[in-house]
Formats: sequence, C-alpha cells, structure tokens
Amino acid sequence: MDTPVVELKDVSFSYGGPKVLEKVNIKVEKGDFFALIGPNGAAKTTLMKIMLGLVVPDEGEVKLFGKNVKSFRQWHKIAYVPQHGGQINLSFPATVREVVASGLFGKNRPLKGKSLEEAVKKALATVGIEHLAARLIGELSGGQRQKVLLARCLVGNPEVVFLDEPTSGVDAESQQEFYDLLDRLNKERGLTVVMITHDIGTACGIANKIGCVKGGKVDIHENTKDITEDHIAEIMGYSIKKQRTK
Amino acid sequence: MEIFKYSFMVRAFAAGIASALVTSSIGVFVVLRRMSMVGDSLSHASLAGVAAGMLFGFYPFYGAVAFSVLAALLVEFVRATFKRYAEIALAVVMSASMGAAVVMISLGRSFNADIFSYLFGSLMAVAEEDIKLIIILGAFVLVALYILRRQLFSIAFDEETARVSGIPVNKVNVLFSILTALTLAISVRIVGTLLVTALLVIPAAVSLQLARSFNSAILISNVVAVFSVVTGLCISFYFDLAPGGTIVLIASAVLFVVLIGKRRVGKGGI
Ligand SMILES: Nc1ncnc2c1ncn2[C@@H]1O[C@H](COP(=O)(O)OP(=O)(O)O)[C@@H](O)[C@H]1O
Ligand SMILES: [Mg+2]
Repeated sequence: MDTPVVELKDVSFSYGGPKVLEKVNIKVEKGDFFALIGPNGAAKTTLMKIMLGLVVPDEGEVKLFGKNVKSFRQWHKIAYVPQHGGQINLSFPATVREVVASGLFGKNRPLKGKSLEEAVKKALATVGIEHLAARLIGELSGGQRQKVLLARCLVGNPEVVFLDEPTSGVDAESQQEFYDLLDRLNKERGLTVVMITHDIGTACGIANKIGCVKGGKVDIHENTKDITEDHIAEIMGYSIKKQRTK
Repeated sequence: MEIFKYSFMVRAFAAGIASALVTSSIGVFVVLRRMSMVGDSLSHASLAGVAAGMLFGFYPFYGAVAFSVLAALLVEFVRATFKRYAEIALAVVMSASMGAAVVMISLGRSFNADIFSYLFGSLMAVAEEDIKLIIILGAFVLVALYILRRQLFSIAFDEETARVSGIPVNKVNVLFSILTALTLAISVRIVGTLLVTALLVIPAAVSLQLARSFNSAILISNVVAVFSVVTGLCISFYFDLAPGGTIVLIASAVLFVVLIGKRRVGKGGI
C-alpha cells in the first residue's frame, strides 16, 4: 500500500485548558474523500490545522506523505481553504485572477508569465467562474468567494486539498455544484479530499471515510454505504431532519 | 522655475520623491496587514535614534536608521514569542522610545532647533550625505519589495494559507519589518518622525478606495504620495511652512475628496 497522505498517531492537544483532542488516530489514504463532521466547537478546525502543521500538538505524531509535518517541504502537493475564507480582508484590492494566481506563489512553483496565466485560466474554468476573473475579491458574494478560494487551491494541481467548511454561506444549488465538482475531481483525477462539513447527507453521499469529531475523540467510519444518516446523527447527538427544516 | 535655483530645494525634491515612492509602496502592504501601529512605534524609535545621535555625537540620521531597525527586530521578537501581547508590545516600544527620546533631548539642551527639524521635517536640512543614504536605502527597499512581492501578497491575503503553500512566513515577516523600519527612517528627513506614518498609511488608504487590481493599488498609492510630496514641498517653500505638515494635509485632502467622491458615485449622485 502507498504511504498515507495524512497520518495522525495518538495526537492530543489543548489550548491551555482541557484537552480538545485526545489520542486521535487518523489515516487518510491516497484518493480518499474524507469528511470530518461534528458539532460547533468540537475541534474540527483545530484538527485540520494540526494536520497542516499550523497548530503543533502537545503529544503524538503528524505525518504528511510519510514525512513528519515539521520537516515536510513538499507543500506544492497540498492546498488549503480555511474556514470563513481565513482572515481575508474585504478591502483587499485584488482581482479574482490575481487571487487565484497567488495559489502558485509558494515554493516549488516557479510558474511565470504565459504558463501562469494558462494555469489560472484552467482553474477558473474548472470551478466555472471565468466570468469573474476581473472582479475585485471584496465585491463578490460569499458563495462566489468560496469558489474563488477553491480555484486558488486547485491552480497548482495539488494531490490533496484541505477544505474547512467550504460551503458555508453558499446557497443550496451552488452547494450541490460545489460537491459535484469535488466528487468529480476525486473520482477522475484521484484528488484526495479532506473536508470539514456540516452537511451530513452529502458527507455520506460522496465521502468514503467519515470522521465524527466529538468530545476530543474522532470516530472513523469507513464503508460509508453501511451507515445511515440517522446512525451518524445519533452518534453526533443531533437530528438531521431538524437541520434540514431550518 | 525659481524654486529649483536653490540647491537645497533640489535636494528636498530628490529626497521627498524617493521617500514618497518607498513609503507608498510598502504602505499598501502595511495597511493591508493592519500594521500601521507598527509604523508609529518604529518612527518613534527613530526619533530616539536621532536624539541619541545628537547626544553622543554620531550622525543623527544614522541613529534614526539603526534605532528603528532595532525596534523592528524587538517588535518582531515579541510578536513571535508572546503572540497575545503583540499590541501591548507595540505600545511599550512606542512609549519607551518616546521616553528615551525626551530624556536624551532634555540632557542635551543645546540641540532643540535641530530636533525640531527631525520632528516635523525640514526643507533646508537635507544634506548631500542624506540624499545618498536615502537613495541607496530607498532603492534597496524597493528592490527587496519587488523580489518579495509574491510572498508578501500571499501573506497579506491570508497568513495560514501562505504557510501551507511553503512560504517561510516568519522569515518574510522579519524582513518586512526591517524594510518598514528603513522606509520610516529615510522618510524622517523630509516628513519628520511625527508625521511619517501618515505618509505610509494615507496614500495606501486612497489606493484601497480606488484600485481595481493589486498592481494598480501600488501605482495609485505611488501617484498620491508623489503628488502630495511635490505640492507639499512647493507650498512649504513659498509659505515657509514645515514640509511634513503640508505634505500630510495634502494627502489627507486627497483621501477626503476620494471618499466624498466615492459616496456620491455610490449614491448615483454624479
Ligand atoms: N486560538 C484558540 N485559543 C483558545 N481556544 C481556542 C482557539 N481556537 C479554538 N479554541 C477552542 O477550541 C475548541 C475547538 O475549536 P475549533 O477547532 O474551532 O472547533 P470547530 O472547528 O469544530 O467548530 C473550541 O472550544 C474553541 O473555543
Ligand atoms: Mg471550525
């Protein structure tokens, strides 16, 4: 078997108070669509940041592509869309094109001039937002902005994407498009996806692995076909039907 | 033009335009990263450097450069080590610098007129030596900004995604602080320590109102700063005013006009 894309071994973490994660073990294999679900404040975002080396765990080991995250250098294989689009300043005077291009500004991505333009065009087309290319990022709707961030994340042809609630603030129809797109990239290009979501229904529909985060623990469910939404809802302690009527 | 017959005015224009280009370029990043408070702290540190130079007999301008760079390193260290106290650290560096400056000024009672020129900027004060330093350091900052532009863009956009894309964020941040410190120090001659942050922030604020892309944002900021400096220097020459004040008032007026203009356009008034 290939080396796992992400591997967490006995990871524990606290922000100074009680542990928000305790002895967490996770393995994400190449080509996985791994959905992380759980109530607000369950430490899903923290868990993702630990996977990316943005937060250092108190105990345990974190590996990306078989390498300890501290000494991991192949960042071009990885892309990340933070929750709420990160701390993006809405007065940021950049066009969609410039923002997407900045997905290539990291290490090991020496694209310039024509080839950079081509890559940006392709990413915009993949996400279906060519028409927004010249617009300012601060003038877009929440849903459009999330698509821009997804394009930015795909522009460097990463092997794995980490998405933290990428569809919050997106209307139902665009949400479906968004998931279809991820499903396609996952199936056709073998893109590994790690996604935090509140949409349990979709998570069961397209993910092949689900991690339920609650009380510092992460329960992993493989063979998602076997588990029903109700089952997950029960574990998570909230009803999906109630959520749906909202 | 009469104004160019005076060699001190030619020097003032050279220094002023160089300062304008550098402050307004780095200013866009400073404003986007909400670091204008850092600018304030560093410019106060540069005043302490000026006072130290006068007291201990080295060239005050070098003192300004050295102290503001040291303060930048100190601020970065505190920011990295005690994240939560970043804001307090800035306030402390700022007040401590001001305190040191005031103490050193009162120790050397004789140099009050000189210190005045560093506080508010001066037309006459720009020496041949200053020009050289301003142009060399200014060119260094501009080249460094150009080389780092992609990293700085990514970090200003979102620090965490920048980290995950392999950008050495901490190193770039330290470099950026040093560049900001150099920028402030070289602008002190013309605008003065008290007002230099305004030159850093106001042209950038105008550009954020008008720019339709990131590249144009830097260009607009440059244009506003050069315009403010050139008109400000002319006005302060003919009316015998401190240039720092006039320059900043003009830049503020530009910002005001742009804000009003945008409101009216927004309401369909024009
Ligand atoms: N920077 C921080 N400092 C202290 N506590 C934090 C910080 N970030 C998150 N927390 C706390 O850690 C817990 C998990 O947060 P988070 O990972 O954001 O949860 P989720 O993404 O599942 O909603 C919450 O109780 C939150 O209040
Ligand atoms: Mg979260």
